[in-house]
Amino acid sequence: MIIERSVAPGAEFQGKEKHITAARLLTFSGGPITEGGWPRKNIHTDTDFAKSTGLPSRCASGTQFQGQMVEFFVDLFGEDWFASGTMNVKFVDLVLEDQTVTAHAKVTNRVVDPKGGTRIEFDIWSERNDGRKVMTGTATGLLD
Amino acid sequence: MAIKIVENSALDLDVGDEQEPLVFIVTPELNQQYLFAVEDFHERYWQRGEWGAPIVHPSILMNMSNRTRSPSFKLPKGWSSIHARDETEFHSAARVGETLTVRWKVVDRYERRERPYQALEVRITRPDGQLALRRVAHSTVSRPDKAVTGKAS
Repeated sequence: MIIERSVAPGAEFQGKEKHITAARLLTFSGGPITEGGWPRKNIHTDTDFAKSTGLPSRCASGTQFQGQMVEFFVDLFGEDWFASGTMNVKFVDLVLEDQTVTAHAKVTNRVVDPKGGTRIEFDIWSERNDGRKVMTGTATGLLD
Repeated sequence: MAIKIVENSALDLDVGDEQEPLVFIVTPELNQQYLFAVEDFHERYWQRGEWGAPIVHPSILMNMSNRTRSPSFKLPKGWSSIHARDETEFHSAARVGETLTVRWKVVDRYERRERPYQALEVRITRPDGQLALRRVAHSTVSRPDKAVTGKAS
């Protein structure tokens, strides 16, 4: 667990920068590698397919960088986060192949949880390498 | 209401309708595939430790809970599902080797900026019936005449 029990509103945290390469798009959204016909063709794995639906290029599934945000919170709170964490997000822009994305979180509040412990509330966002936010929202984690 | 198999489009599902569940096993290889995809190689995901047996990487749960993973999911040619927003609660850590079941149920339909949206409650359960994750996911569609292009360029 990285987060300290004394963490106060205003504290900011940043995850690792993740590079959305072609190989990572295919392994995330192409289905199991052992499946016949891998990778599945969809807007995340196939440029022509993506363009046929009007998108500018193949792009990351929102759940790819949302998964990275969850990973970031598990790093902050430890494995207990899997049993008590919450996350509400809105996808506001695309992440295209070869762009990078980084998870951010800012503490907004500390509240007593009705089931015990202190719940830490955050504003969260994922930011592309050009500075644009691609996912925004809130999350919470529990400290005993 | 029960599982409804649509002929043409998931947009034909009404509030209360369910998509066909997805049942899948998280093998070590599948878990490691996702570890590579998201560049996360923490040992909690591939070996036993103070956390117990290796844990399923959360990005698998996020990805497999997309409505498009249902075997009955369907959209007309040239259309794609766009995940717009969601509210997610985590309930327990799924473990590598477990068979997980994903269930989807339509809980709302609405229109915003001339686009059709559906909200689906998604529940991922573990072999003992314990809930791993619950989310309400809101999706729309991108299609050639009304594409979702973002501001990526």
